[in-house]
Amino acid sequence: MTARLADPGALARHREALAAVRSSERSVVAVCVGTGCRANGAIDVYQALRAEVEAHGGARDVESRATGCQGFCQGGPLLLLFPEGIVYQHVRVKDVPEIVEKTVLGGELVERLLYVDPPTDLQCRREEEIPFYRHQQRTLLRDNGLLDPNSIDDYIALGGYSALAKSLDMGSDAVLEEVKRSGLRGRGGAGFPTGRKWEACRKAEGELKYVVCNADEGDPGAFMDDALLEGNPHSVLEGMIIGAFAMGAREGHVYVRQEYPVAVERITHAIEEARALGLLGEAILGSELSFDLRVSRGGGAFVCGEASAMMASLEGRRGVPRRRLIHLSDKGLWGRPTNLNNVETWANVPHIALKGADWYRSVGTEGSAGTKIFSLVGKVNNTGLVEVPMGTTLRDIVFGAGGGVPGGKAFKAVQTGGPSGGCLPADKLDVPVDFDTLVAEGSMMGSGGMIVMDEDTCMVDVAKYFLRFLASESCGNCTSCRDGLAILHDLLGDITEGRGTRTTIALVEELADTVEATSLCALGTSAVNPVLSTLRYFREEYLAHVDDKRCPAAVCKALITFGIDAERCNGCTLCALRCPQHAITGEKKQLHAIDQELCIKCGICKDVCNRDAVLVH
Amino acid sequence: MDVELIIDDVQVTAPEGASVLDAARRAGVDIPALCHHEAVPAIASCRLCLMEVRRPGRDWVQLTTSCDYPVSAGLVVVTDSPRIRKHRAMNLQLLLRRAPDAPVLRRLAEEFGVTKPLFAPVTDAPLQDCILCELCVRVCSALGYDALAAIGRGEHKRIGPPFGQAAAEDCVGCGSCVEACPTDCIAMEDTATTRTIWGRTFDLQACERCGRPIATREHAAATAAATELPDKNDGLCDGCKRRLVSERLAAPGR
Repeated sequence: MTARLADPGALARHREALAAVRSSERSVVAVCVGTGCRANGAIDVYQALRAEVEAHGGARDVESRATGCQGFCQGGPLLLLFPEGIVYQHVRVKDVPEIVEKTVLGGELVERLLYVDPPTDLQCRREEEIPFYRHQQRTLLRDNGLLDPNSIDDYIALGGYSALAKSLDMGSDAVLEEVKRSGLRGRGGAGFPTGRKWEACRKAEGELKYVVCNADEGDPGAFMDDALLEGNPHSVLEGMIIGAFAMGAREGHVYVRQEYPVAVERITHAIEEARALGLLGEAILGSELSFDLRVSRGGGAFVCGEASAMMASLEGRRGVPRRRLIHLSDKGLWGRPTNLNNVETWANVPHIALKGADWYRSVGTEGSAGTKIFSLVGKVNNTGLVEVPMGTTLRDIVFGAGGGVPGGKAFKAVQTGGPSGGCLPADKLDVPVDFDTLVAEGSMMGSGGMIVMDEDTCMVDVAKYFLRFLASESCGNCTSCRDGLAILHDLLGDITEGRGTRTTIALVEELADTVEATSLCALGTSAVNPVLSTLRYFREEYLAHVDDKRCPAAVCKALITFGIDAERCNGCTLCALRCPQHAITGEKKQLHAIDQELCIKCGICKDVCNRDAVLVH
Repeated sequence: MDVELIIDDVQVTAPEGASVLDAARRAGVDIPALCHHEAVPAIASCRLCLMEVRRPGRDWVQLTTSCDYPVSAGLVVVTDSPRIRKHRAMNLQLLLRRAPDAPVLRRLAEEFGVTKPLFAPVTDAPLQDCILCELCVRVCSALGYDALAAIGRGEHKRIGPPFGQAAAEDCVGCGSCVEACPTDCIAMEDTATTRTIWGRTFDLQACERCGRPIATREHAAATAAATELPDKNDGLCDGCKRRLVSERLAAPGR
C-alpha cells in the first residue's frame, strides 16, 4: 500500500515508480468485462485467461486484466492485447489456451478471432483498423481498455491525477476560467455551459458548498455514464475534485442508481483508494483543498435524474420535482450552494484542466465543444459506445462507426435524446449532431442515447413504447403529465389496434399540447416529443393506421394478417411444426395454409421459413 | 417587504415571496385551484391555477402555475386568456376522470365550458374521487403527524398510510385531512363513542361535563402535549369551556 501522497512531487514520483515496474511487463491481455461482454460470458473468459497464464509460468511478464467497457459491444466478449494493440472479438473460454499459446507467447495471430469488415472483407488486427473505432475520436473512453478500474495505480500510471496537480498549481481562478473558456456544456441533456454554472456556485455565499455527480442514467438503451463509472471511475472523481477546488466545495455526492451495482462498487472503491492516497480528504496533495465524497444510491426512479427531484432524494425525501425558485448554485442540497453535473461532464474536466481550453475548443463545433459519447443501439450493425466530436453527422455515426443497418434493410429513423427525444428520418442523416441543431430539428441531444430503426419499425408503435416508459416514470405530481401521458399511451394503442380515427390523432395532438405546456418539470414537458416528432416526420404512417387500418411496417398485430405464398412454399412443414397454435396445416410437399381464426400473429412461421414464403399484409 | 405587481391590468401590492395565487385572491381575483392551501407548501399538482406571467426586463410571456410562483416586483400577470382557458379545460378533463361527481369539479367544469367528457372515468382507483393533490398529506405533515404519504408513481400514484400499510400508525384521528380534501373523498365515520378513519378505529373522549364527544383520545393527548397554557380544561368540549368561563365570570364574590 502506497503512503499518502504529501504533495504533487510525491504523486509524480509515485507515477515514475509505477512506470519503472510496468515497462518490464512484456504484455497485457485486457478482457472487457463491461455490461455487454459480461452478459456474453466475459467473466469466465477472464478467469480462464488468468488460469492459463498462471499455467504458463505465472504473471511475471504477462498481465491479465479485466477492464471496463471498451465500447465495441457487438463484438463482445472483447480481448485487447498490448503492446501490439490486437483486438480479438467473440472470445470464448475454449479460445483462451490458443490465444495464450499462439499470440501471447508465440506472437502469432488467431485469425478467426479477428474482426472482418463486411463490405471489404478485410481482416482488422488492431483497433484503429476496425471502422467502428476508426470513425471515433476517443478522449473520454480511450483509457477504458487500458486500465483496471479497481486500480488507482493503473490510472495514475496513465497520467491520472496530473490534471488535479496542475489545477492546484494554477489556482482556482485560473481553473474556473479555463473551464469557462473551454465551452464545455452539460452532458446530461440540457447543455448548459458548465463554466457559468461553476462560476455561479463559486460566487454564491455559504461556508459549505456541495458538488454532486448525476449518475442516475435512466434512458432505455443508454449506458455511457455506466461505462465511464465502471470503466474509469477515477476520471470522474478527478473531475469532481478539480470542480470542488474551482468552486470552493468541501463535500460531494455521487448519486448513482442502484441498478448499476458494478458502478456503485467501483466508484465506492475508487473513493476509498483516493482517500488512502490523500487525493480526497484534508489537505489534498498538501494544498489547502479539503474535499470528500460519498456515494448515494438512487432507488431507480427515472425522474430522480431531474435536479430538484434528485436533491429531494438525496435529502431522504420522495423524489419529486419542485419549481426551482432559486438556482441550485445558490440554494441546492440542504439549502446550500450546490453544483450538479453529469458523469460525462465531470469526466471531461481533467482533460480540459490538463490540455487547456484552446485544445478543447479545437474539437467539436463553435457552439458545442469537445467530444460526445453516444450509445448506439437498435437496428445497427455495430452496437456499442461511440465517442465522436460534436458536429459529426448522424450518417457518420450510424453508417460510419455503426456500419449501417443489418440484413440489407433500409434505414428508417434514428431516435436521439433518450425516451423524450425525437425520431429523425433518413433525410436528416446529414444533420450535424450538436445541442442546438438537434433541438431545431425537433429532437434533442439528451444524454446521448441513439436508437436506430429500420424499415420494419412502426413509428406509431415506437411512440407508444416511449410513452409507456415515460407514463410509468412520471412521478405523478402534475395532473397533465400523470394522467395525460397515460391517456396518450391509450390513444396510441387505439391507433395501433385499429380503433383510431382522424379524431383520435387530433385528440392526441390537443392533449400533447397541454401536457407539454402545463407540466412542471422537463419529464412532462418533453415527454410528448416522441409523439410530436413522429407525427411531424411520419404522419403518413399514422394516417395509414387510421384511414386504411393498415400498418405499413407490418408490426401492429391487429392490422396485419399472415399468409403463405403459393409460388414459394415447397411444403417443408417447418412452419407447421413450429406454430404454437397449430394454426398451419398442409401435407408434406404441398402448399400450406394458415387458419386466421387460430393465428396469434406471433411471426414464428415467418422467422423459420427458409424460402420467404410467409407473407405479412 | 411589500412589492407592486400587476394582475389583470390592476396594480396590486403584495408581500415579496408570497404566491401569485394568494396575492391575486387577496386582491379579489379568483384563480381556480384545487390543490392549494395557504397554510401548507405548494406542490402545483392540479395544474388549474394557470397564468401568463412576464418578468420585468423580459420580452416573453410564460404560461405556468400561480400557486408556486413567488411574487416579485414588476411581474405582469394575466389570469384569463384563450390559451389559459384551453389548457385549464384539458386539465379539468383529466381531473374529471378521477372525480366525475365531485361538486367542486362540476362547478369548475361548468365555469370553463367543459360540457362533454373526453375520457372515460377511472373506475379502479384505490380511493374513489381522489385527485391525488396531496392536500391531506401536506396538512397532516404540517400538523406534525406525517401519517399519510403519496405512494407509487404515474397514474398508479395513490394516497394512504406510508409504504402501503393497511392502517395509519401515526394517525391521531384528528380528521384534518377530511377537512382539507377538495373532493370529499376521505371516509371518516363517527359513532357516539368511536371514530374510524384510514383503517383505524379510535375511541372518542367524552366531555367531562356534558358527555358529548370532543376528539379522539390520541388527538386530545397530542394537542394537550403541544400546548402549554395553564388551566386548559382539556377534558371539556368547546361549549362547556365557554360555559365554564361565563360561570366563573358570573360567580359571586369575583
